[in-house]
Amino acid sequence: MFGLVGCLVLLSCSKKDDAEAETILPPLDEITVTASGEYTVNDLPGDLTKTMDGKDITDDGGFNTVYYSLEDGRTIPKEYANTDKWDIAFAGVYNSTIWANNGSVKYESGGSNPGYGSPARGMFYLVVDPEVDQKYYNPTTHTPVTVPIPFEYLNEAYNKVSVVPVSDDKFDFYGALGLDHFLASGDGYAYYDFYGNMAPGNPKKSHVVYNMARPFIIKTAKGNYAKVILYSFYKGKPENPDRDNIAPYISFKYTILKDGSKDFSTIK
Amino acid sequence: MFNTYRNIPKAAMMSLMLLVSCTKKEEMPVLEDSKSTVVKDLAGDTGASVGDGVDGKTKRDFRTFLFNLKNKRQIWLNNAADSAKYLKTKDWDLAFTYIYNSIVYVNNGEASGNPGAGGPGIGGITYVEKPYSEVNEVPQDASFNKNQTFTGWDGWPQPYNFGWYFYQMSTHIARPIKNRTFILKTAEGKYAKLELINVYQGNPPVVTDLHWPAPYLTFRYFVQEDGSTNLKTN
Repeated sequence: MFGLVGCLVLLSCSKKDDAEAETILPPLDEITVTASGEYTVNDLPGDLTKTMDGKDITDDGGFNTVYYSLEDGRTIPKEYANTDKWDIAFAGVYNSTIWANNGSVKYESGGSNPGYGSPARGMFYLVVDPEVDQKYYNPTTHTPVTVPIPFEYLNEAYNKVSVVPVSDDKFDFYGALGLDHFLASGDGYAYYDFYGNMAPGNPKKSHVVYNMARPFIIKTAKGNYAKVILYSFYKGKPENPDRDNIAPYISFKYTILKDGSKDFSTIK
Repeated sequence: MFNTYRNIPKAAMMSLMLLVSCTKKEEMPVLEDSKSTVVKDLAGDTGASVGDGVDGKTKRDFRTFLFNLKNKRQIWLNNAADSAKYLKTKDWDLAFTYIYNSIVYVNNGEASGNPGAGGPGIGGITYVEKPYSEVNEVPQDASFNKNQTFTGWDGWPQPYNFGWYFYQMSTHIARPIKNRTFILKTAEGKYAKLELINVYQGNPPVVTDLHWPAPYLTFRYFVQEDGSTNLKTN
Protein backbone atom coordinates (compact mmCIF):
# COMPACT_ATOMS: atom_id res chain seq x y z
CA MET A 1 0.00 0.00 0.00
CA PHE A 2 2.68 2.46 0.98
CA GLY A 3 4.73 1.43 -2.02
CA LEU A 4 1.86 2.12 -4.35
CA VAL A 5 1.21 5.51 -2.85
CA GLY A 6 4.89 6.32 -3.20
CA CYS A 7 4.80 5.39 -6.86
CA LEU A 8 1.83 7.56 -7.53
CA VAL A 9 3.44 10.49 -5.80
CA LEU A 10 6.62 10.01 -7.77
CA LEU A 11 4.75 9.79 -11.04
CA SER A 12 2.73 12.87 -10.46
CA CYS A 13 5.81 14.78 -9.40
CA SER A 14 7.84 13.97 -12.47
CA LYS A 15 4.91 14.64 -14.71
CA LYS A 16 4.44 18.05 -13.22
CA ASP A 17 8.15 18.85 -13.57
CA ASP A 18 8.11 17.95 -17.24
CA ALA A 19 5.13 20.13 -17.88
CA GLU A 20 6.77 23.01 -16.07
CA ALA A 21 10.02 22.57 -17.92
CA GLU A 22 8.20 22.82 -21.22
CA THR A 23 6.19 25.85 -20.37
CA ILE A 24 9.00 27.72 -18.67
CA LEU A 25 11.08 28.32 -21.83
CA PRO A 26 10.13 31.64 -23.34
CA PRO A 27 9.54 31.95 -27.08
CA LEU A 28 12.48 32.92 -29.25
CA ASP A 29 12.63 36.05 -31.39
CA GLU A 30 12.35 35.83 -35.16
CA ILE A 31 15.42 34.58 -36.98
CA THR A 32 16.98 37.47 -38.89
CA VAL A 33 20.03 35.72 -40.38
CA THR A 34 19.61 32.76 -42.68
CA ALA A 35 22.64 32.90 -44.94
CA SER A 36 26.39 33.46 -44.80
CA GLY A 37 27.21 37.15 -44.90
CA GLU A 38 28.13 40.29 -43.03
CA TYR A 39 25.77 41.62 -40.38
CA THR A 40 25.78 44.65 -38.11
CA VAL A 41 24.33 44.81 -34.62
CA ASN A 42 24.06 48.27 -33.08
CA ASP A 43 23.21 49.10 -29.48
CA LEU A 44 22.41 45.57 -28.37
CA PRO A 45 21.28 46.26 -24.80
CA GLY A 46 23.34 44.70 -22.07
CA ASP A 47 21.80 44.38 -18.65
CA LEU A 48 20.35 47.89 -18.42
CA THR A 49 18.67 47.18 -15.11
CA LYS A 50 22.06 47.40 -13.46
CA THR A 51 24.35 50.34 -13.03
CA MET A 52 27.24 51.17 -10.80
CA ASP A 53 26.11 54.78 -10.40
CA GLY A 54 25.48 55.74 -6.83
CA LYS A 55 26.13 52.26 -5.57
CA ASP A 56 28.27 51.39 -2.66
CA ILE A 57 31.87 50.83 -3.54
CA THR A 58 31.67 47.19 -2.58
CA ASP A 59 28.80 46.46 -4.97
CA ASP A 60 29.65 44.12 -7.82
CA GLY A 61 26.72 45.21 -9.97
CA GLY A 62 25.36 41.71 -10.59
CA PHE A 63 24.98 42.18 -14.33
CA ASN A 64 22.99 39.48 -16.08
CA THR A 65 24.64 37.72 -19.01
CA VAL A 66 23.39 38.52 -22.51
CA TYR A 67 23.33 35.65 -25.02
CA TYR A 68 23.36 36.16 -28.78
CA SER A 69 23.04 33.86 -31.75
CA LEU A 70 25.37 34.86 -34.56
CA GLU A 71 23.90 32.03 -36.64
CA ASP A 72 20.33 33.30 -36.34
CA GLY A 73 20.86 37.00 -35.64
CA ARG A 74 18.85 37.27 -32.45
CA THR A 75 19.26 37.59 -28.70
CA ILE A 76 18.56 34.41 -26.80
CA PRO A 77 16.79 34.38 -23.42
CA LYS A 78 18.87 33.21 -20.46
CA GLU A 79 16.64 30.16 -20.05
CA TYR A 80 18.44 28.77 -23.11
CA ALA A 81 21.91 29.22 -21.60
CA ASN A 82 22.64 25.49 -21.52
CA THR A 83 21.57 24.86 -25.11
CA ASP A 84 23.24 25.33 -28.47
CA LYS A 85 20.93 28.22 -29.38
CA TRP A 86 23.56 30.90 -28.71
CA ASP A 87 27.10 31.53 -29.94
CA ILE A 88 28.44 34.51 -27.99
CA ALA A 89 27.73 35.70 -24.46
CA PHE A 90 28.48 39.04 -22.84
CA ALA A 91 28.95 38.64 -19.10
CA GLY A 92 30.28 40.39 -16.03
CA VAL A 93 30.62 44.07 -15.27
CA TYR A 94 28.92 46.10 -18.00
CA ASN A 95 28.69 42.85 -19.97
CA SER A 96 32.29 43.27 -21.06
CA THR A 97 33.56 39.68 -20.72
CA ILE A 98 33.05 37.61 -23.85
CA TRP A 99 32.41 33.88 -23.96
CA ALA A 100 31.93 31.37 -26.74
CA ASN A 101 29.39 28.63 -25.96
CA ASN A 102 31.22 25.58 -24.68
CA GLY A 103 29.22 23.06 -22.72
CA SER A 104 32.24 21.08 -21.56
CA VAL A 105 33.96 23.72 -19.44
CA LYS A 106 33.66 23.63 -15.69
CA TYR A 107 36.36 24.86 -13.30
CA GLU A 108 37.73 23.40 -10.10
CA SER A 109 36.70 26.63 -8.40
CA GLY A 110 33.07 25.81 -9.19
CA GLY A 111 32.60 28.36 -11.96
CA SER A 112 31.90 27.36 -15.52
CA ASN A 113 31.34 28.50 -19.06
CA PRO A 114 27.89 30.12 -19.25
CA GLY A 115 26.90 27.33 -21.63
CA TYR A 116 28.02 24.52 -19.35
CA GLY A 117 25.98 21.41 -20.10
CA SER A 118 25.12 22.44 -23.65
CA PRO A 119 26.14 20.24 -26.57
CA ALA A 120 28.06 23.21 -28.05
CA ARG A 121 31.85 23.14 -28.30
CA GLY A 122 32.44 26.73 -29.27
CA MET A 123 35.66 28.70 -28.79
CA PHE A 124 37.32 31.98 -29.70
CA TYR A 125 40.55 33.33 -31.12
CA LEU A 126 41.68 36.94 -30.77
CA VAL A 127 43.40 38.31 -33.84
CA VAL A 128 46.33 40.61 -33.02
CA ASP A 129 47.62 42.26 -36.17
CA PRO A 130 50.91 44.03 -35.40
CA GLU A 131 50.73 46.08 -38.60
CA VAL A 132 47.43 47.64 -37.58
CA ASP A 133 48.29 47.76 -33.88
CA GLN A 134 51.40 49.85 -34.50
CA LYS A 135 49.22 52.68 -35.80
CA TYR A 136 47.75 53.35 -32.36
CA TYR A 137 49.34 51.07 -29.76
CA ASN A 138 52.60 50.64 -27.90
CA PRO A 139 53.18 46.90 -27.51
CA THR A 140 55.85 47.43 -24.86
CA THR A 141 53.73 49.41 -22.43
CA HIS A 142 50.46 47.85 -23.62
CA THR A 143 48.78 51.22 -23.93
CA PRO A 144 47.41 53.21 -26.86
CA VAL A 145 49.62 55.99 -28.14
CA THR A 146 46.55 58.22 -28.38
CA VAL A 147 42.84 57.83 -27.85
CA PRO A 148 40.27 57.54 -29.24
CA ILE A 149 41.20 54.66 -31.50
CA PRO A 150 39.61 55.44 -34.87
CA PHE A 151 36.96 52.96 -36.07
CA GLU A 152 38.86 53.09 -39.37
CA TYR A 153 41.58 50.98 -37.75
CA LEU A 154 39.03 48.54 -36.34
CA ASN A 155 37.57 48.11 -39.82
CA GLU A 156 40.99 47.71 -41.36
CA ALA A 157 41.94 44.91 -38.97
CA TYR A 158 38.58 43.26 -39.49
CA ASN A 159 38.78 43.45 -43.27
CA LYS A 160 42.27 41.99 -43.24
CA VAL A 161 40.99 38.76 -41.71
CA SER A 162 40.36 37.00 -45.01
CA VAL A 163 40.50 33.47 -43.62
CA VAL A 164 40.34 31.87 -40.20
CA PRO A 165 44.02 32.42 -39.43
CA VAL A 166 44.73 29.42 -37.20
CA SER A 167 43.65 25.85 -36.62
CA ASP A 168 41.17 24.97 -33.88
CA ASP A 169 43.90 23.92 -31.45
CA LYS A 170 45.07 27.54 -31.30
CA PHE A 171 41.60 28.71 -30.25
CA ASP A 172 40.70 29.27 -26.60
CA PHE A 173 37.85 27.06 -25.50
CA TYR A 174 38.60 27.21 -21.78
CA GLY A 175 38.55 30.87 -20.82
CA ALA A 176 36.90 34.15 -21.66
CA LEU A 177 37.96 37.17 -23.71
CA GLY A 178 38.39 40.40 -21.82
CA LEU A 179 40.17 43.71 -21.51
CA ASP A 180 43.70 44.18 -22.79
CA HIS A 181 46.47 43.84 -20.18
CA PHE A 182 44.34 44.93 -17.27
CA LEU A 183 45.47 43.52 -13.92
CA ALA A 184 47.45 40.70 -15.45
CA SER A 185 45.00 39.88 -18.21
CA GLY A 186 46.82 39.19 -21.46
CA ASP A 187 45.92 40.41 -24.92
CA GLY A 188 42.37 41.68 -25.06
CA TYR A 189 39.91 43.42 -27.35
CA ALA A 190 39.68 46.79 -25.57
CA TYR A 191 41.81 49.20 -23.60
CA TYR A 192 40.45 50.20 -20.23
CA ASP A 193 41.79 53.55 -19.06
CA PHE A 194 41.42 52.97 -15.34
CA TYR A 195 43.24 56.10 -14.17
CA GLY A 196 42.37 58.40 -17.06
CA ASN A 197 46.03 58.35 -18.06
CA MET A 198 45.21 59.14 -21.67
CA ALA A 199 43.53 62.45 -20.81
CA PRO A 200 45.10 63.88 -17.67
CA GLY A 201 42.96 66.38 -15.81
CA ASN A 202 39.70 65.31 -17.41
CA PRO A 203 37.73 63.29 -14.84
CA LYS A 204 35.21 62.23 -17.49
CA LYS A 205 37.99 60.32 -19.19
CA SER A 206 38.87 57.93 -16.39
CA HIS A 207 37.28 54.48 -16.32
CA VAL A 208 36.56 54.65 -20.05
CA VAL A 209 36.81 51.67 -22.38
CA TYR A 210 38.23 52.12 -25.87
CA ASN A 211 37.68 49.26 -28.27
CA MET A 212 40.82 48.22 -30.11
CA ALA A 213 41.46 47.05 -33.66
CA ARG A 214 41.32 43.46 -32.47
CA PRO A 215 38.80 41.28 -34.27
CA PHE A 216 38.12 37.79 -33.00
CA ILE A 217 36.92 34.54 -34.47
CA ILE A 218 34.06 32.71 -32.82
CA LYS A 219 33.49 29.05 -33.51
CA THR A 220 29.73 28.85 -33.18
CA ALA A 221 27.62 26.30 -31.35
CA LYS A 222 27.01 24.59 -34.67
CA GLY A 223 30.74 24.49 -35.43
CA ASN A 224 30.79 27.27 -38.02
CA TYR A 225 33.15 30.24 -38.01
CA ALA A 226 32.38 33.92 -37.63
CA LYS A 227 34.68 36.91 -37.43
CA VAL A 228 33.58 39.69 -35.12
CA ILE A 229 34.71 43.26 -34.47
CA LEU A 230 33.38 44.98 -31.37
CA TYR A 231 33.08 48.76 -31.73
CA SER A 232 31.61 50.02 -28.52
CA PHE A 233 29.91 49.34 -25.22
CA TYR A 234 28.26 52.75 -25.14
CA LYS A 235 24.86 53.84 -26.43
CA GLY A 236 25.05 55.38 -29.87
CA LYS A 237 28.44 53.79 -30.64
CA PRO A 238 30.51 56.92 -29.90
CA GLU A 239 33.96 56.86 -31.41
CA ASN A 240 35.33 58.98 -28.56
CA PRO A 241 33.46 57.91 -25.43
CA ASP A 242 33.57 59.50 -21.99
CA ARG A 243 31.81 58.81 -18.74
CA ASP A 244 28.68 60.67 -19.85
CA ASN A 245 28.01 57.90 -22.37
CA ILE A 246 25.62 55.20 -21.26
CA ALA A 247 26.68 51.57 -20.97
CA PRO A 248 26.20 48.76 -21.70
CA TYR A 249 24.96 48.96 -25.28
CA ILE A 250 27.01 46.63 -27.43
CA SER A 251 27.74 47.46 -31.07
CA PHE A 252 29.52 45.02 -33.33
CA LYS A 253 29.82 43.71 -36.86
CA TYR A 254 30.36 40.12 -37.89
CA THR A 255 30.72 37.85 -40.88
CA ILE A 256 29.39 34.34 -40.54
CA LEU A 257 30.16 31.38 -42.79
CA LYS A 258 27.29 28.97 -42.42
CA ASP A 259 28.83 26.10 -44.34
CA GLY A 260 31.85 25.40 -42.13
CA SER A 261 34.13 27.27 -44.52
CA LYS A 262 37.08 29.28 -43.21
CA ASP A 263 37.31 31.67 -46.16
CA PHE A 264 35.82 35.07 -45.42
CA SER A 265 36.92 36.46 -48.80
CA THR A 266 33.97 34.67 -50.40
CA ILE A 267 31.62 37.17 -48.73
CA LYS A 268 30.91 40.44 -50.62
CA MET B 1 30.96 54.05 -16.73
CA PHE B 2 32.84 50.85 -16.12
CA ASN B 3 33.71 52.20 -12.73
CA THR B 4 33.30 48.81 -11.19
CA TYR B 5 36.75 47.99 -12.42
CA ARG B 6 37.84 50.69 -10.08
CA ASN B 7 35.56 49.42 -7.38
CA ILE B 8 36.58 45.82 -7.49
CA PRO B 9 40.28 46.26 -6.77
CA LYS B 10 39.56 48.93 -4.21
CA ALA B 11 37.01 46.76 -2.52
CA ALA B 12 39.38 43.86 -2.74
CA MET B 13 42.10 45.80 -1.05
CA MET B 14 39.81 47.22 1.58
CA SER B 15 38.74 43.70 2.27
CA LEU B 16 42.29 42.49 2.30
CA MET B 17 42.77 44.77 5.23
CA LEU B 18 40.09 42.83 7.04
CA LEU B 19 41.32 39.50 6.00
CA VAL B 20 43.03 38.29 9.06
CA SER B 21 40.22 38.58 11.53
CA CYS B 22 39.53 34.88 11.21
CA THR B 23 43.01 34.05 12.43
CA LYS B 24 42.57 36.09 15.57
CA LYS B 25 42.79 33.23 18.00
CA GLU B 26 45.61 31.47 16.24
CA GLU B 27 49.24 31.76 17.15
CA MET B 28 51.37 33.77 14.77
CA PRO B 29 53.36 31.11 12.98
CA VAL B 30 57.12 31.28 13.07
CA LEU B 31 58.28 32.02 9.56
CA GLU B 32 61.96 31.32 9.99
CA ASP B 33 63.52 27.92 9.45
CA SER B 34 67.11 26.88 8.89
CA LYS B 35 67.22 27.50 5.15
CA SER B 36 64.52 29.88 3.98
CA THR B 37 64.78 33.59 3.36
CA VAL B 38 62.09 35.56 5.14
CA VAL B 39 61.31 39.03 3.80
CA LYS B 40 59.28 41.21 6.13
CA ASP B 41 57.55 44.47 5.28
CA LEU B 42 59.27 45.08 1.99
CA ALA B 43 57.81 48.45 0.99
CA GLY B 44 56.01 48.47 -2.33
CA ASP B 45 54.71 51.59 -4.03
CA THR B 46 53.23 53.28 -0.98
CA GLY B 47 52.62 56.51 -2.88
CA ALA B 48 49.90 55.15 -5.15
CA SER B 49 46.25 54.47 -4.51
CA VAL B 50 43.34 53.16 -6.55
CA GLY B 51 40.99 55.89 -5.37
CA ASP B 52 40.93 59.63 -4.76
CA GLY B 53 41.35 61.39 -1.48
CA VAL B 54 43.82 59.17 0.31
CA ASP B 55 46.23 61.28 2.34
CA GLY B 56 49.74 61.31 1.00
CA LYS B 57 48.87 59.10 -1.95
CA THR B 58 48.19 59.77 -5.60
CA LYS B 59 45.61 57.96 -7.65
CA ARG B 60 47.78 56.39 -10.30
CA ASP B 61 49.27 53.13 -11.50
CA PHE B 62 51.33 51.29 -8.95
CA ARG B 63 54.98 51.24 -9.92
CA THR B 64 56.40 47.80 -10.45
CA PHE B 65 59.38 46.54 -8.55
CA LEU B 66 61.51 43.53 -9.33
CA PHE B 67 63.08 41.19 -6.85
CA ASN B 68 66.14 38.99 -7.13
CA LEU B 69 65.74 35.94 -4.90
CA LYS B 70 69.41 35.08 -4.65
CA ASN B 71 70.78 38.45 -3.56
CA LYS B 72 67.50 39.78 -2.11
CA ARG B 73 67.77 42.86 -4.23
CA GLN B 74 64.73 45.05 -4.87
CA ILE B 75 64.88 46.87 -8.20
CA TRP B 76 62.43 49.70 -8.90
CA LEU B 77 61.09 50.48 -12.34
CA ASN B 78 60.52 54.20 -12.03
CA ASN B 79 60.74 55.07 -15.68
CA ALA B 80 61.19 53.72 -19.18
CA ALA B 81 64.96 53.69 -18.78
CA ASP B 82 64.72 51.39 -15.76
CA SER B 83 62.39 49.09 -17.65
CA ALA B 84 64.73 48.99 -20.63
CA LYS B 85 67.68 48.27 -18.38
CA TYR B 86 66.25 45.45 -16.28
CA LEU B 87 63.14 43.78 -17.69
CA LYS B 88 64.76 41.66 -20.37
CA THR B 89 67.49 40.33 -18.11
CA LYS B 90 67.91 37.53 -15.62
CA ASP B 91 68.62 40.07 -12.86
CA TRP B 92 65.20 39.46 -11.38
CA ASP B 93 63.05 36.48 -10.45
CA LEU B 94 59.82 38.13 -9.29
CA ALA B 95 57.98 41.26 -10.42
CA PHE B 96 55.48 42.81 -8.01
CA THR B 97 52.92 44.59 -10.15
CA TYR B 98 49.54 46.33 -10.33
CA ILE B 99 47.27 47.08 -7.37
CA TYR B 100 49.25 47.18 -4.14
CA ASN B 101 52.03 45.30 -5.93
CA SER B 102 49.97 42.22 -5.18
CA ILE B 103 50.12 40.52 -8.58
CA VAL B 104 53.42 38.68 -8.66
CA TYR B 105 55.06 37.47 -11.86
CA VAL B 106 57.95 35.13 -12.47
CA ASN B 107 60.45 36.05 -15.18
CA ASN B 108 59.58 34.31 -18.44
CA GLY B 109 60.71 35.62 -21.79
CA GLU B 110 58.39 33.45 -23.83
CA ALA B 111 55.12 34.18 -22.06
CA SER B 112 52.90 36.82 -23.63
CA GLY B 113 52.14 39.58 -21.18
CA ASN B 114 54.98 38.69 -18.85
CA PRO B 115 57.09 41.71 -17.80
CA GLY B 116 60.16 39.81 -19.04
CA ALA B 117 58.63 38.91 -22.43
CA GLY B 118 61.31 38.88 -25.07
CA GLY B 119 64.06 38.42 -22.51
CA PRO B 120 66.12 35.39 -21.45
CA GLY B 121 64.15 34.43 -18.31
CA ILE B 122 62.90 30.85 -18.10
CA GLY B 123 60.87 31.24 -14.92
CA GLY B 124 57.66 29.41 -14.12
CA ILE B 125 55.08 29.11 -11.39
CA THR B 126 52.65 26.50 -10.17
CA TYR B 127 51.34 25.64 -6.74
CA VAL B 128 50.55 22.88 -4.27
CA GLU B 129 47.89 22.88 -1.59
CA LYS B 130 50.32 22.20 1.21
CA PRO B 131 51.89 24.22 4.03
CA TYR B 132 55.23 25.73 3.10
CA SER B 133 57.14 23.72 5.71
CA GLU B 134 55.78 20.44 4.34
CA VAL B 135 56.82 21.04 0.75
CA ASN B 136 60.01 18.98 0.48
CA GLU B 137 60.22 18.37 -3.23
CA VAL B 138 59.02 19.67 -6.59
CA PRO B 139 56.04 17.41 -7.35
CA GLN B 140 56.70 15.01 -10.19
CA ASP B 141 53.60 16.16 -12.03
CA ALA B 142 54.38 19.86 -11.62
CA SER B 143 53.84 21.69 -14.87
CA PHE B 144 54.86 25.25 -15.50
CA ASN B 145 52.30 26.57 -17.93
CA LYS B 146 53.27 29.63 -19.95
CA ASN B 147 49.62 30.66 -19.97
CA GLN B 148 49.97 31.71 -16.34
CA THR B 149 53.23 33.19 -15.13
CA PHE B 150 51.82 35.21 -12.24
CA THR B 151 49.76 34.82 -9.10
CA GLY B 152 47.46 37.39 -7.57
CA TRP B 153 43.77 37.50 -6.97
CA ASP B 154 42.46 33.93 -7.16
CA GLY B 155 40.19 33.38 -10.17
CA TRP B 156 41.25 36.58 -11.93
CA PRO B 157 41.45 37.46 -14.79
CA GLN B 158 40.34 33.98 -15.81
CA PRO B 159 38.19 31.77 -13.60
CA TYR B 160 40.90 29.11 -13.66
CA ASN B 161 43.82 31.35 -12.63
CA PHE B 162 45.35 30.38 -9.30
CA GLY B 163 46.06 33.18 -6.83
CA TRP B 164 47.47 33.83 -3.41
CA TYR B 165 44.42 35.59 -2.07
CA PHE B 166 40.68 35.09 -2.47
CA TYR B 167 38.25 37.79 -3.27
CA GLN B 168 34.60 36.86 -2.91
CA MET B 169 32.06 38.96 -4.79
CA SER B 170 29.26 37.97 -2.46
CA THR B 171 30.91 38.95 0.79
CA HIS B 172 33.58 41.38 -0.46
CA ILE B 173 36.08 39.63 1.73
CA ALA B 174 39.53 38.87 0.44
CA ARG B 175 41.84 36.64 2.34
CA PRO B 176 45.17 34.98 1.69
CA ILE B 177 44.93 31.34 0.81
CA LYS B 178 46.32 29.30 3.64
CA ASN B 179 48.54 26.33 3.07
CA ARG B 180 49.08 27.14 -0.58
CA THR B 181 52.74 27.08 -1.57
CA PHE B 182 54.04 28.20 -4.92
CA ILE B 183 56.60 26.13 -6.76
CA LEU B 184 58.83 28.35 -8.86
CA LYS B 185 61.45 28.21 -11.48
CA THR B 186 63.73 31.20 -11.12
CA ALA B 187 64.86 33.30 -14.05
CA GLU B 188 67.80 30.90 -14.36
CA GLY B 189 65.59 27.83 -14.14
CA LYS B 190 66.42 26.79 -10.56
CA TYR B 191 63.59 25.32 -8.52
CA ALA B 192 62.27 27.24 -5.54
CA LYS B 193 59.29 27.43 -3.23
CA LEU B 194 57.51 30.61 -2.20
CA GLU B 195 54.86 31.60 0.29
CA LEU B 196 53.21 35.01 -0.13
CA ILE B 197 51.97 36.01 3.29
CA ASN B 198 50.73 39.59 3.56
CA VAL B 199 50.65 43.05 2.01
CA TYR B 200 50.06 44.92 5.29
CA GLN B 201 52.76 46.46 7.40
CA GLY B 202 53.74 44.25 10.31
CA ASN B 203 51.97 41.18 8.90
CA PRO B 204 49.20 41.81 11.40
CA PRO B 205 46.83 39.03 12.42
CA VAL B 206 43.94 41.50 12.56
CA VAL B 207 43.46 44.68 10.56
CA THR B 208 40.42 46.88 11.07
CA ASP B 209 41.81 50.26 10.04
CA LEU B 210 41.19 50.85 6.34
CA HIS B 211 44.27 53.04 6.21
CA TRP B 212 46.59 50.45 7.59
CA PRO B 213 49.90 51.01 5.80
CA ALA B 214 50.21 49.06 2.56
CA PRO B 215 51.74 47.66 0.48
CA TYR B 216 54.40 46.21 2.74
CA LEU B 217 55.04 42.71 1.57
CA THR B 218 55.88 39.74 3.73
CA PHE B 219 56.92 36.51 2.06
CA ARG B 220 59.38 33.68 2.40
CA TYR B 221 61.16 31.45 -0.06
CA PHE B 222 63.86 28.93 -0.65
CA VAL B 223 65.88 28.47 -3.85
CA GLN B 224 67.53 25.12 -4.49
CA GLU B 225 70.81 26.27 -5.97
CA ASP B 226 72.17 22.79 -6.76
CA GLY B 227 69.70 22.29 -9.61
CA SER B 228 67.85 19.47 -7.91
CA THR B 229 64.18 19.33 -6.98
CA ASN B 230 64.85 19.14 -3.25
CA LEU B 231 62.96 21.89 -1.44
CA LYS B 232 63.26 20.65 2.12
CA THR B 233 63.87 23.50 4.56
CA ASN B 234 63.64 21.95 7.98
